[in-house]
Amino acid sequence: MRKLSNQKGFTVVEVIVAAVILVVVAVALLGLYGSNFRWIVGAGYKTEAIDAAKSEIDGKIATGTTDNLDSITFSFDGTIPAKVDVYHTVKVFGTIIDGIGNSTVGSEQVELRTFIPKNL
Amino acid sequence: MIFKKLRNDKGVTMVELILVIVVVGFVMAAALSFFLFGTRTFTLGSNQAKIQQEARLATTIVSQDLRTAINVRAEYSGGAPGTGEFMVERVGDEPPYALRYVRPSGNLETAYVFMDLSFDVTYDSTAGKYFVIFSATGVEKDRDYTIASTMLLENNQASTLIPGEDYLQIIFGK
Repeated sequence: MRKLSNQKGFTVVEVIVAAVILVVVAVALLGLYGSNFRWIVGAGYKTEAIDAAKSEIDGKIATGTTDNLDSITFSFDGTIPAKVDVYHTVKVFGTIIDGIGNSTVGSEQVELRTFIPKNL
Repeated sequence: MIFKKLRNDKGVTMVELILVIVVVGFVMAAALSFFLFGTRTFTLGSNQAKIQQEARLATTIVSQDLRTAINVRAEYSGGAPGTGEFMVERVGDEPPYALRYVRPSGNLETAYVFMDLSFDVTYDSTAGKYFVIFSATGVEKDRDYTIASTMLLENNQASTLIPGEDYLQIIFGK
């Protein structure tokens, strides 16, 4: 109660110092506005790079260019209750095709990899 | 106690009043510039997001459907899709162009706005395959965004495609 009836106010110097501190803090947070915009633009460059990588993969598929011969192994080792244990392995041979795309502006790079099953 | 304060006849001096106005003015000016900067950045960001989103959607739709097309015919203008055919068309003679996508049912049409929109066809003679190059450019104020995609027409069997031509529309069946 006594504090609320305190007649002493702020001096001008105190008010100005408070305002200066407020501005300094606000300027520090100002960067957040800009980074939002940069992230949006960066996402656009990334999409551009993805499409460039997809184009490269399509070109390689057309000409039959392969980067690696490989296989994918699927294992089914499920144990079904009250039944005989099942264990199967399926090996699929095929080729791996890599595509690397760059954005025309900016420095986004995307690497895509696809697997095409092939009868050997 | 309170009554005594309310009946206080002492005012503020002119100097105090002017000082308060000046300090408040400075603070408000700083706050306003922050606000305006924030609004400007938001508008710029949402415009950029809009053109990117539209270009991304267009390339996704076109590449997903065109990739598995069996017969493709490209025309300069005027053709209409037959039964069971899809059509991707550039609408308008001058920018901004719209991309119109017509499904066989005919009840779904989608339009996006672009400053530049082109379908181009290339032919790889060693592979004996056709490619469709699709590119869309959106412009908003001083910002521009281009997305280009090349699609292999893997299942293409019957086509009227002339490489190196700029087509306004591509009609295809699946």
